Amino acid sequence: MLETSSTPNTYKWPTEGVTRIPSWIYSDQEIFRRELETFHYGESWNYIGLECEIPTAGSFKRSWIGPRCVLATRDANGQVHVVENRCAHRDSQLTWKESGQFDSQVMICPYHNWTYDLAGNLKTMPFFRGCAGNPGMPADFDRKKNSLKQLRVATRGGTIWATYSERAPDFVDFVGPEILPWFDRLFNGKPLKLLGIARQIVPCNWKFYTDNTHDGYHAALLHTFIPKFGLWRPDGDYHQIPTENGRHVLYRIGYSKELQNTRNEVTKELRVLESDFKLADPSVVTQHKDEFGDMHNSAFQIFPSTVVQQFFSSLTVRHIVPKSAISHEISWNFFGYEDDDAEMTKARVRHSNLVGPSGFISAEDTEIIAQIQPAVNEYHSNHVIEMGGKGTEAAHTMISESAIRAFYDFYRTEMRL
Amino acid sequence: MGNRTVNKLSIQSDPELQSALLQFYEQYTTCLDDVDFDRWPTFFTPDAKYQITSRENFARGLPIAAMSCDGVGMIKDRVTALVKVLVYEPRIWRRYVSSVRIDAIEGDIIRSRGNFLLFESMMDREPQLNMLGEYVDKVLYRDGLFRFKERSCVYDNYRIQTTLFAPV
Amino acid sequence: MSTAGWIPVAATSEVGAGTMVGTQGGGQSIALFNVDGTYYATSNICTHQFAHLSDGWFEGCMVECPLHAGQFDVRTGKGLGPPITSDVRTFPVRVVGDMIEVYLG
Repeated sequence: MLETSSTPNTYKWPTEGVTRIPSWIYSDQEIFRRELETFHYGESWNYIGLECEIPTAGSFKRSWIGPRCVLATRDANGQVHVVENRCAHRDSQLTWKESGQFDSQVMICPYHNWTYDLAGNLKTMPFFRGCAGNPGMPADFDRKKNSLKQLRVATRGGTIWATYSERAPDFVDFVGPEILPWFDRLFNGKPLKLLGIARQIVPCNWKFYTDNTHDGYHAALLHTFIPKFGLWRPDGDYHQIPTENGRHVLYRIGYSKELQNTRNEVTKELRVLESDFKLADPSVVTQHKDEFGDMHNSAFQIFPSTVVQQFFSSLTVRHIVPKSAISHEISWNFFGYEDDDAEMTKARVRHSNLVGPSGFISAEDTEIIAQIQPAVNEYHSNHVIEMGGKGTEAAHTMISESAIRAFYDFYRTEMRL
Repeated sequence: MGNRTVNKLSIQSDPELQSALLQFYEQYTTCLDDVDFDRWPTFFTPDAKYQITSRENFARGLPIAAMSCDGVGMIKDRVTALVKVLVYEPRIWRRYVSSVRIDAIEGDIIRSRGNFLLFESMMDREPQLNMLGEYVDKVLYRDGLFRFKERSCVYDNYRIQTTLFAPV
Repeated sequence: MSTAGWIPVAATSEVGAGTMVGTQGGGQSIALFNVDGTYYATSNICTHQFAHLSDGWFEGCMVECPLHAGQFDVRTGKGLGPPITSDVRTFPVRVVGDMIEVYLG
């Protein structure tokens, strides 16, 4: 890392370009606000939840777009709505619950009982027309203008997305043609089933997490479980592909049982690849069933809000929620399909031990990034991102930081930095 | 575990049984506090189920947990990972258990619960309460010994702080 | 119906055309409505969250609860959409002399 004399107020990216990341982007408050306006509240689709979480008319689920709290509701016609959980009157929250059912197909704010339909339109409030001869709301009060903030909604394959922007492209165009087949591979029209949600609060900037998910380089070095139990090796079938000019990234990893147990020229370079560690129950690192018929594990990031991942039988949407410049929440939304049998559900739960907040191959991510924050709060340095060269093309190895460079190429353009 | 012999496994309000069970609960947390991780699996039956999960998932009957072990083999593998594989900041974990109570006795299975606190003392900053919640257990009492057949550590936390490495 | 079940609740002069009045009778809270000269009576307690309908808005044959705008047809007691999920009870009405009476059963 190099010390630099440039200060955050100049917002000048290092002249080397995307082979450098200035550390002030991880601590500066104004940059944080600008990111939310540019990405989360701009022309991006944000993950909200799964349709199976709001199965009935009047049901709702709470979710987040950055620090903003939203509600996904389902109305009597089966339509899904996403609204801000913020009363148009005095900004009160409409509900404090994670999920539930609104009675009588209305949302009533607890403070003054302003009453909205499930789409967020203001119907009335108590004594709207006055009471006992006393005036209610004035004649020029416009209920349409005082409704909940309603977002534009897209659903696909049982997932729910929302955007603040009328100009954002359709969801399929936002995802793009490279990732869409991998999206549809998991969200293929079969009814989904929520298996559970695990949440973490991480005391560091959210982009450390999104960087980490672009960073195949660290995986076998930090997560020593991976090489020690044969889950990966440098000569494996591995691809990390930036898409949509670096906005998103796609991983596809061919799984080969034979390769898992082979040692050769490549693996002897890697000191952590040991055969001394044996699992008492190796089923956690053994595929149960190749349900997609392609012997692949896959993950993709739909920026800014998710990483969707299939690792063996564990299927999960990671929802990345920035809370402040120095904290973010991750929720792991594990799912299966309605037609999973008991053995498949058991396998999904078993393989979930690999990922999540205590995951064998994921636990260290949040641990390592959390302890970087104090340094970037204190120092202004430039992070050197040159593994695998200086380009932004797809890489067919884990040992590359190309996807990180591709992302910051996109980021600089959008943020005008 | 269970040094004291309990003669009758039939009366829920038996103070001797209560006392022996509390001792078992405390021996479990002390084992973990002492970082005696090799001994931790011995508190479980071979077919034991162990999970650390949120109140949100537990109340809704959802099967996903932050840690989910089906059989003592997976519990042993958590030890292997914790001791030999995972990379994490050094710290001291200390656990407190209280309000141990018996809900029911079904044959040689005791359904019991207790409250837990997990504190974390880092090497360069102040101790914090990391996690709190409720143990929901099925304890097998056989041949003078207690062992967990099922242990669910149901945390009240909305969110795990950073990462959960420690068994509870 | 026996005469004993009929309770006088208001004078006709109190409930002009197009108006509604809240009143008590036989221990019940009752709302009276005049729809183009015909009287109707319902329970005065909204089935949603129990406000007095007579504090609300009456137009045509529809009464709207003052709290959350739940609407009922006063002629039948039928709820007219969310947030109403239960109809409001109605009472038979007759005029005897210059008094409106309702049958509480």
